[in-house]
Amino acid sequence: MMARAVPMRALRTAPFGSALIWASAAALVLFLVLPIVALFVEVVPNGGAWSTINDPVVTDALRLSLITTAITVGITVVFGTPVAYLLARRQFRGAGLLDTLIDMPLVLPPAVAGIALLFTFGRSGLLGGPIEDAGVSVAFTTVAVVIAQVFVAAPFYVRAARSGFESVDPELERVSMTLGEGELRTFFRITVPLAAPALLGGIVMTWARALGEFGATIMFAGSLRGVTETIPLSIYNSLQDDLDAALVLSAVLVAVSFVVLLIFKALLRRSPLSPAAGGNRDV
Amino acid sequence: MCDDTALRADVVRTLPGFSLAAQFDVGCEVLVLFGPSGSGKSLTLQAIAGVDRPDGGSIVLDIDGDETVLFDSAAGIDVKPQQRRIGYVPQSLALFPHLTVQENITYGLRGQSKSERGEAAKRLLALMRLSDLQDRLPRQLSGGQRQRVALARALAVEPRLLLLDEPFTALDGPTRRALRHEVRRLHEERGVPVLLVTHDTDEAFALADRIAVIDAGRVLQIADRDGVFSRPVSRRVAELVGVENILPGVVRSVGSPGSSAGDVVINWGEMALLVREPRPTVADLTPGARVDLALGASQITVLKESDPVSSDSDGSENAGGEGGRANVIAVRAARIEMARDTIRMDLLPQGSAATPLRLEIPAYAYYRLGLDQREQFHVQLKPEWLHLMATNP
Repeated sequence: MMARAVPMRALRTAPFGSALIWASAAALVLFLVLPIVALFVEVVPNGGAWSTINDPVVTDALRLSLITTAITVGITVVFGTPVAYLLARRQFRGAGLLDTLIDMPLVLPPAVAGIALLFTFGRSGLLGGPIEDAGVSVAFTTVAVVIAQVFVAAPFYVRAARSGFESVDPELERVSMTLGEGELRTFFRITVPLAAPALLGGIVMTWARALGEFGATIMFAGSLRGVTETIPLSIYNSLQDDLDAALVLSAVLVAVSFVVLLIFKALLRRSPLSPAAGGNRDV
Repeated sequence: MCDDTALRADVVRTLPGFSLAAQFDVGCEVLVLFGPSGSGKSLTLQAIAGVDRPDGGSIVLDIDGDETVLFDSAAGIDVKPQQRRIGYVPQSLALFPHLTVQENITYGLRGQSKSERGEAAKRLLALMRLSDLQDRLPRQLSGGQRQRVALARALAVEPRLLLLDEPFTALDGPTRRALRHEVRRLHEERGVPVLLVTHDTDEAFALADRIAVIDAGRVLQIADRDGVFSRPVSRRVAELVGVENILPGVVRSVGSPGSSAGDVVINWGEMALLVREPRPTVADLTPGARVDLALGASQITVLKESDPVSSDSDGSENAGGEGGRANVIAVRAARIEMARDTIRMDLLPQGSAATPLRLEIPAYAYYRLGLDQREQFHVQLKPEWLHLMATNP
């Protein structure tokens, strides 16, 4: 709302020639952009590829990805929000450890995550045995897809929500309570609206990560069309026999990723942390 | 409206490196909790508001004989802040940045219908002179306007007690004076008892019915303005409220031939000063006991050149005599500080190694008395304005 014009400044900083900087920057940008350009060069003029958009292979993957990622986001928000608030507001023993544990999936290779989940929920896994005895099988079902996605994607939301909650002055919550509103109402009337940009940003990132999930899913859920074959898995499977389908699905993912990134950046700008959004204390 | 007692507070709180044990009552008045930063003022307010949980003691509201225990560590009572109905305005004001002025003000009125809320908002907006600002966001307001929104929001829920934490520190002089007036007006019109925290002596003086001086987590003195500023109970209180002259002395004698009740002669350096205190608060007045004397910088009387100077710096001589001049001292100005309409001087008593006296005198008097022409002159420390205090332990 109150975007401020920042005058361009050219301070002398680096001791070496600027040509070198520009050249290396250009090389990196080119390297990052070129594969995406290559993909679209291949797919845009390819009428055959676009006709596969109605193929069951493609539509099944799209539908499955939409459903599973939606459930993943729902589960993440319901279970992640209290943890994020706890980490933001309370100082307790083991907070640092809890924080690290929650971040673990961010650095864990997805294939490792897949195996770990298999040994947890699989037929002979830690929890899988008792679950199996109850007549339920988790591995290689749609449930497994969601489990894999939550495992790798939830930390993005928890991190974002935590920093969002931290940016809300606890004094606002205290005053809300002295005005007669209990903790839960205070949370929904004060904390959530003020942390909303960060929460939405976390949701978008979680959704994007879940949408692209491949490694853990293929290890833990397998690749069954219509059941566990999400978009990334479908791309991988189509690569051998149906290149057109793979191209279209890839293009869809690129487009979605780009939009997600734009939304995310827009939300970051509106976050209460940024000066443009205006704090409560500036006089 | 309230009668004599509104709140009885006994707040005990132990934090690493700090302990608070504050006991005081708030009546139907504006009580100022005065103390330096880090003295435990804010913590006390938070405990009363219920947003911080004390480790011991009790907090009891007593409005018109209707007693409510808010906190009692022995009985295990701790009423939640949302059930206390105590207005709390923190130093940061904590206006809700995502809500408009009107939404901020009616925040605590969720239970009421929309039209009732609208009515309440209209009333409070008018009361606080905010009527044209109802749709603004807090960041679009000036400091004084924000302050008034915070007050209106706290008043909306009809609190039984209003707590204000350093409310005016961020404001410029004129706005601050206007808002002090506003707080007095709200207190008088609505009859709501106010407990206000400040470290500003002017603010304490301008607002308070009574002042509680707090230091290092302890209440040192509770009294009206005159009691605290002119008759501080101890050297520490005098230092905190900014009494300019604190003179260390030793009791020489109590009473003297033909003296009035309460006359005490104190040795201050090589000089003897007569002190007339009908109701001394210092317990130990045996000769040889150490005491401190308090005297405001504007309470020193400068004598005209024509005035008779009969005292020879031996206070006992003219002690009781009507019109007699006790405590007359020859001084020399060591340092002069000119303000727009007052002049502050450091005066060195002649022929003695005593510490300088701080004098504050209106500029017109300074020139009328010809102090700009006189290198040396006489001042009188009037016996009835000198105040005896206990030396700090």
